[in-house]
Amino acid sequence: MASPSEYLDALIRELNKLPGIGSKSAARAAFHLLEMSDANVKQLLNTIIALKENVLECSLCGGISDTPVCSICTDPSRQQQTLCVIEDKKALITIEKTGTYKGIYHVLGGVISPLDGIGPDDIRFPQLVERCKSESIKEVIMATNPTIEGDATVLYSLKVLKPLGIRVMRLARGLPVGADIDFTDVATISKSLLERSEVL
Amino acid sequence: MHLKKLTVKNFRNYYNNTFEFCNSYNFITGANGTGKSNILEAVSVLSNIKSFRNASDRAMIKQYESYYYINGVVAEDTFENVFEAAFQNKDKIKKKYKINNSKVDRLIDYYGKFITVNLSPTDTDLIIGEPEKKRRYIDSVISKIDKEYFKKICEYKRILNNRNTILKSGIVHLKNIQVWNELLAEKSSYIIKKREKFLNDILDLFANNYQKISNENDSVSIKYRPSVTGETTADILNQIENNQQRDKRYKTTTLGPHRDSYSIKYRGVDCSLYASNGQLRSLSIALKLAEKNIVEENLNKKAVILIDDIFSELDRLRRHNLIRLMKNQNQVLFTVPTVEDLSISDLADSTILNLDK
Ligand SMILES: Nc1ncnc2c1ncn2[C@@H]1O[C@H](COP(=O)(O)OP(=O)(O)OP(=O)(O)O)[C@@H](O)[C@H]1O
Ligand SMILES: [Mg+2]
Ligand SMILES: [Zn+2]
Repeated sequence: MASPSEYLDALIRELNKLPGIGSKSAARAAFHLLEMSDANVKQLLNTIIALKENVLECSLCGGISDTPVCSICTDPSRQQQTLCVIEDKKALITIEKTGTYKGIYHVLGGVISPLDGIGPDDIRFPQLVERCKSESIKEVIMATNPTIEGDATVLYSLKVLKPLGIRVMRLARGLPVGADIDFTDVATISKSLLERSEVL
Repeated sequence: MHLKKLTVKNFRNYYNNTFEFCNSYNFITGANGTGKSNILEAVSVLSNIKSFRNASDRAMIKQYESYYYINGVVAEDTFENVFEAAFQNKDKIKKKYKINNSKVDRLIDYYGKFITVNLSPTDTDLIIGEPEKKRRYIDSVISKIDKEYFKKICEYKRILNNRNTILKSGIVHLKNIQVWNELLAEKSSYIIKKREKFLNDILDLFANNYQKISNENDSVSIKYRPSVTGETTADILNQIENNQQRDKRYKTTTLGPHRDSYSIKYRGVDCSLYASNGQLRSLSIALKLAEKNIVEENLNKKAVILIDDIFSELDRLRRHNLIRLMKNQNQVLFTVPTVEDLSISDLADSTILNLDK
């Protein structure tokens, strides 16, 4: 239902496009913005613009970064021999929250999914192979989501990386089947990170 | 368990109707086209997610309407559970299931809770029909009693679709297809074992029921016809890999559980060759009753039996035998044009729901 203001309706429509925001929450947020002081609204806008202008993709791991190479990749206390492979940038934040993982990351930006027309070369898989060849990586932990396509990506990685002398591990199946890493609680992930097992 | 009350809205010829049933025999009577089978269909959708007539959800919505809604009150021991199914075909297509007013997100958590077994004219397809119909049938029954199987079947289909997409593209890299071969072999090995066991378990029940229905002593048997065989996943993987060239040529997966079948023999010969119509009918009833036996034993509750049309098709002896097999055990919903040609003893303690105006 349209409100008496076109401007308000336009904002509600925009907010509604955000994930997890239904039309009710969008209307609530829009009314709240309307009541906020000009200064606060400007600050919010500037924060959003600064985010878009400054956040980069780390040229090594493919995660988010404010610098060409991210703070995790350049952190000397991180173990450079262990690489955790994840589906998307968000999953990195979820795993970091557990505080148990001390290695480095590689973001694939997807999984192998023929049904969606996605092969190994359509995600950051070639970069993964390159890193395994040129860096001091000894162990790769596949932390893709426990879906059929996630499993296929694990098997494929095993086929390509094992001949390079790399141990390929997968997260222990502490994750409920069908669960998305982003929605799984921190305790479950840190448990499965500790119980990872070698893919045969 | 038994269905106490059924409410349907915008379902087939019904606008908004409620029916009540007793816990033994219920005869739904009325002229052709009065909506007898539609009532059983609504019950089958509520219980099995799908129509026993294999109709699409869209076809079941009352003409000119945009949704259907089914509500059933099911009594089990001292409990009453409310099951709801709704399908909407407006703006977005939506299908929703609820148990006791809470939404069920995954079909696997709904399927097999309200159990029914339906006997209908198309059941002879399960004896002599296409392999696909036979497969779908055994999958639906095993899934009812085994959630893990349900999950594995869904996963198998997904793997198969992915593998076929690669084959169809015509660009088949070795490492790429190998991944899907391995995933396929792993699920196949599980599915084949389960199907084998199920058909083994059902064999004696089937033969026994056939004898009880027909009073014949002829031998009947059911045999699994798997597309790939093998004790281990490695055996199966081997066959899938050996078949890969052929798959490439046909651009689809030509081997695997999605090509399985079973065959039913009557007096040692395949049924499609010699069995009469009446015998096919009795064989299909025997199979459905075997399904009932197995489902009831595994889930430890009584199924509601839905009998569409076939009742009036049976001779007096077989009809009597069928009734005796279920008497005092199950709630049964029959559709019959009239009760005139039923015997008084068949009608004792039963409810008659007449749809004629
Ligand atoms: N989607 C629909 N919308 C409205 N009416 C429908 C719809 N689908 C079927 N019908 C009507 O339902 C009736 C058929 O109902 P049903 O198949 O239950 O009949 P029946 O009583 O079992 O008949 P028979 O004795 O011939 O088997 C027909 O009159 C048909 O027009
Ligand atoms: Mg009918
Ligand atoms: Zn980085």
